[in-house]
Amino acid sequence: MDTLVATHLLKTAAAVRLLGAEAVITGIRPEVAQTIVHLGVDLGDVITRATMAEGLSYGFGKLGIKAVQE
Amino acid sequence: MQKIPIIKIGENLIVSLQFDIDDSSAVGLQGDLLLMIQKTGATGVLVELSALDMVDSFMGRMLSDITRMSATMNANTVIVGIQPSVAITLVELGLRLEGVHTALNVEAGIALLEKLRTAKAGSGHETDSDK
Repeated sequence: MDTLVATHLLKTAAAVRLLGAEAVITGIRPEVAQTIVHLGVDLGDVITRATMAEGLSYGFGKLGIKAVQE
Repeated sequence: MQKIPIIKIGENLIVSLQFDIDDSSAVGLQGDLLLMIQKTGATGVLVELSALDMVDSFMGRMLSDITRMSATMNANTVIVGIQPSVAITLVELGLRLEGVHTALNVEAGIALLEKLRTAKAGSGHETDSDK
């Protein structure tokens, strides 16, 4: 993860927002979290979650969808 | 390098700094804490500093870094038990710790974490049933 990747992700999230959707960045590992902060990249406006499960849970919550076991 | 214990209680991780720690221990703690967040999926981190009577600029920056890193992994951080002398030192150093939540003691800190969690659940339309 470098500044180029980080800014690209930010741009992607901003573009997605223009299309009326919301981007959630998931799967951020501890090392990546450290790198992002050390690079000084501001992810304040982007929703981030540690795991994809948490990201999906967020998305489902927004859409009012619930996953249940049969 | 000393290893600092990280305790999980419910949704929160609690870190208590019982002695003045050196820089390498602080960096180690940073990594350990993020690993614990990944492992446990905790959504709150409480850092207790009441036994600390000396804070330098490195330590101050480390605290604000931890907050931002945890936020990236969806965990709120609250710093509690800052000694009056430490508070003065931090401000004198120009470290205002903006964006970092602080509380007087552990009790108030846990209450603040709870409040932050409900606020986030409300704005993100996340419900308990989704978890």
